[in-house]
Amino acid sequence: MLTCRQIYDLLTEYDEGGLTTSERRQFESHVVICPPCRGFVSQMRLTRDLLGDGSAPGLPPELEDSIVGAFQTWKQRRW
Amino acid sequence: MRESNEKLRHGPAHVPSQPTSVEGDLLVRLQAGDEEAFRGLLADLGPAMLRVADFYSRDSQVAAEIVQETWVAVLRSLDAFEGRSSLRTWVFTILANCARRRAKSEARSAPFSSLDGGAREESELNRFFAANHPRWASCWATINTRWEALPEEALSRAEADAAMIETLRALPPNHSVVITLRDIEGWSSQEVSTLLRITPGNQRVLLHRARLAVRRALEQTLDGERRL
Amino acid sequence: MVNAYKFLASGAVGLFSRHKWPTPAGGVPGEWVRVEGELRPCLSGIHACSASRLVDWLDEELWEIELGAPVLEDDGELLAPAGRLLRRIDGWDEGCARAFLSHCLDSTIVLAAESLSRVGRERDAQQLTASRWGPDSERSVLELARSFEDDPASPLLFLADVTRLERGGRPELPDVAPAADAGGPTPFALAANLGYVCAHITAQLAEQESAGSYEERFLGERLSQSRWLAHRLLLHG
Repeated sequence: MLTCRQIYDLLTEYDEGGLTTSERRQFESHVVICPPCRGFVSQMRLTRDLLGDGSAPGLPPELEDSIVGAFQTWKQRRW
Repeated sequence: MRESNEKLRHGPAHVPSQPTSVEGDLLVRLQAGDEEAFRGLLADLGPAMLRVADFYSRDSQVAAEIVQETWVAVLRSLDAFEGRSSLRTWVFTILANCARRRAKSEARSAPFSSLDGGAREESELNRFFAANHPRWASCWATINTRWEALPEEALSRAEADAAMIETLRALPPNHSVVITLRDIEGWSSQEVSTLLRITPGNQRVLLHRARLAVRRALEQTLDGERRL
Repeated sequence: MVNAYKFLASGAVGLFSRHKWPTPAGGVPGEWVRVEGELRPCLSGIHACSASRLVDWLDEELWEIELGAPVLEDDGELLAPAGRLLRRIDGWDEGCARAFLSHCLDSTIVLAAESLSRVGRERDAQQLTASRWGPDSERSVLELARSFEDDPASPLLFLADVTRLERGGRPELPDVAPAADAGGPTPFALAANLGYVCAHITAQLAEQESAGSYEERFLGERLSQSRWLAHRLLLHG
């Protein structure tokens, strides 16, 4: 049986498929019967959801214009 | 809003994570000087590029310059690009090189010490009973409540986003870049490992630590609100 | 064909998959959920359990589930390529969870008291039973904890912890009264957690008395707990 500390250390391995079948089974058996680990797992899940729902803000217009300008210059020099 | 987020999460429809014939078409258009194609690529990759550059430079002006330099370098080598990696991996590889070059030339010694991140993780480890506790060895000593959803009355979406990004900016850049590309931008594990030239196992460790840091930040913000 | 059961988090959601299961309505089973590809335990497939393994998976909701062939069975653990929810086992609610935990604790304390008597520690046995059923059990359980302080790995100290946890206490913070809004564990969470710990304590006692291996005793106790629950919920198979 894994300890809570191991759950804390191994959650990403679990999610990313880095554990063996036997390890997965031990991982799940622990989480099921352990309230603080369940809480921890749900917290990490929500954290990932929030990250996934976010996105970087668009480029500042000056920067975008400047880069497009570089493209136009490049294009002119080529053609 | 959600739709455009979806695009960014899973990669824009016309810039897939693996080189494909769709990407091949895009490449041809770019090499042919198609401005619309370029603007599309810029819109898709630019925002994440700026964020990643910011993690390396910790300076928004320098970050903008890094992004600019990257695109110039991309254009310069566009004809030579053979499509062995995906376009976005290639663009971000150039970005990472530019960022590292800038960091060296500015002799920036950013406080990326492992002590910094390590110290915070230390306080988290205090939340477990000792490994030699006679009955509750290595068990959580605290209650961790389940978070079903963001409690909007305690923490707005904007506040949560701000807390998360602030946390990422304080992490060593390899951590923040991994979590940004994986969890925010939706890159695959293989892509990120390839980009940063690390093993998938190493990548998982960085990702794990970064996720723990973000969770801690959210918890502090949530707890702070509750105490009021 | 063994009956199959599945515990889900509230809202008929899988704990690990976070998949929301279609629920039965108007006597019609929920739609079939199918999983493509090879069946791999803990990785891929619909997981369920027989009545003998209920206690390993305790959660907020208990459902009876029909599994599509072929059903792989491994010591009470079931795996299949498809499943659909047939009916909610309404008897499994907070009250039942509390009753289950109470039963586990009662059994374990009786076993421990008898174990103490067998080795001539009659006074300790009485102190133990008083901590559960005595007139001032709150105080008794603290006294029990203090008596066995010098033997921190003692199953009896563990029992004292469990007794207090059942009542919403925090054994590691002896002077703190349980706060109502501390967001403490639900009865389901306590049942899952402390049921396990009770079986652990029972197995430890057996090992101490050289009355069988820890493993055997632990599994036997868990089986016994599942059987109690299955009877209580009028389940078959």
